[in-house]
This record gives sequence, C-alpha cells and structure tokens, in this order.
Amino acid sequence: MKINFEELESEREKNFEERLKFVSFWVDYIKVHKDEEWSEQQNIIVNSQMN
Amino acid sequence: MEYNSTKKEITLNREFNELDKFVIDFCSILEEYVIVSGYVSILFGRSRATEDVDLLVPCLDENKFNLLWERIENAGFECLNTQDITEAFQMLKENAIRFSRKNKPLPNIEFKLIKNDIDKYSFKNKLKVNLKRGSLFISPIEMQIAYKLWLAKGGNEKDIEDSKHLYELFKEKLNKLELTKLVKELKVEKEFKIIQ
Repeated sequence: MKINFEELESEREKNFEERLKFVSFWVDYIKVHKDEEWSEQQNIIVNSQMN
Repeated sequence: MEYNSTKKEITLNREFNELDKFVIDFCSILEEYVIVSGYVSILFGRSRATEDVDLLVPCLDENKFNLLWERIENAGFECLNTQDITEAFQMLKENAIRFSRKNKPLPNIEFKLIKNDIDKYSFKNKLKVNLKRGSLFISPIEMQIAYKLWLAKGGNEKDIEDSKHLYELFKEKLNKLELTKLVKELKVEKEFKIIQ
C-alpha cells in the first residue's frame, strides 16, 4: 500500500476547516432559535450516544 | 438564552437530554462545585456528547468526604475506582475519582479537588446557569475558551471546536479584556487566532 501523506494531511486540514465552519453555522442557528428548538435537535445526538 | 454578566447568571431554557439529567442529579447532592471543560460547551449546544463531566470541589477533609460519600451512594451513584472509602479519599488527594449511576459506568463524573490557579479562578468566578429544573455552576466562559485552546495544544481538534463554539455564541457578551489576559497567560495566542 502506498500512502500519500501529503494528500492525507491536506484532506485532514480541509476537513478541520469544514468542521469549524459547521461550528459557526450551528452557533448561528442557536442564536436565532429558541432554546427548546435547538436543544431538541442536539438531544438527538447526545441521547443517541448515551443509550 | 440570557446572559447577565453583572449577576454572573445565565438563563437557559433548553430541553434536557440524558447527560443533563445525569449532571443535574449528581450536582444536586453537592454544596459547592464548579463544572469545567467539555460539558460546558455541550450544555450550550455543542453538537456532541461526552463520556465524562469534569467537576471541581473545594478541599475536603476525611470527615466531610465520608459524609459526601454517603450522600452520593444514597442518591444511587457509585465510585468507579474503588468501593473502599479510605482508598477513594487517598486517590482523590492524588488525582481524581469517578462516579456514575450504579452499574452504569457511562457517563461519569470526573471528580477532582481544586488545586491549581486555573481551578481556583474557575471556582471563584463561576457562573450560575438557571435551567428549567434546577441550576448548575460552571466555569466562566472566558476561562473555558482559553483553557480549551490550551488543551488543544495537545493536538485535539475537538477542543478547538469547543472553544470556538463558546466564543462565537457569547462573543457579544464576553469580557474581552479578561479573555485577552487569559489567552496571554495560557500562551494560546496562536490558537485563539484560529477561532476568530
């Protein structure tokens, strides 16, 4: 197996940047929605990892 | 969500998930504490869960610890490290002990004594979060942002994301001077640029 580490690193960096963008997107969502609304969505993620 | 920085209070009308219920049930046993690290971001909406919740308490002597141990057990929790109360007290003095609901190791509370200056700062300047049922005490947001950036120096991108989440959510309400001071003290200027 030939691994191109430069390519892997570049992918990792792009993925991280994309995740940071999603953090901003999600915060904007939280800011314009009621606590009850955004938390209901977040709870799907949290509860799925708890049960 | 409403943040009153003068009163050091946040009102949060979120619906509870299983992690919130666990934390609220455990914290209701305690007299004094402060929650630090990942759960603070999760409480305010970060889209992830966690296996442990970091909690700091002021120094306890053995008598106080024994009384607390009894209250914790009576409330349906158990120590994951040991069932021996003397051993648990010794372990707590050294590092941390974990508590979970009986026979359910996940999630758990990583229970630590306040030791260093960062711990002391977090406890002294803690914020009260008023929830639909009960309240919780958390580390100040400025410290959480800076401390998570310091943790990220270990290479964990999750910590940068946690920090960015809090920074963006509370941007307008933060004490910028205090945040800048903490960023400088923790030497995380480079990491801070990433989240801005």
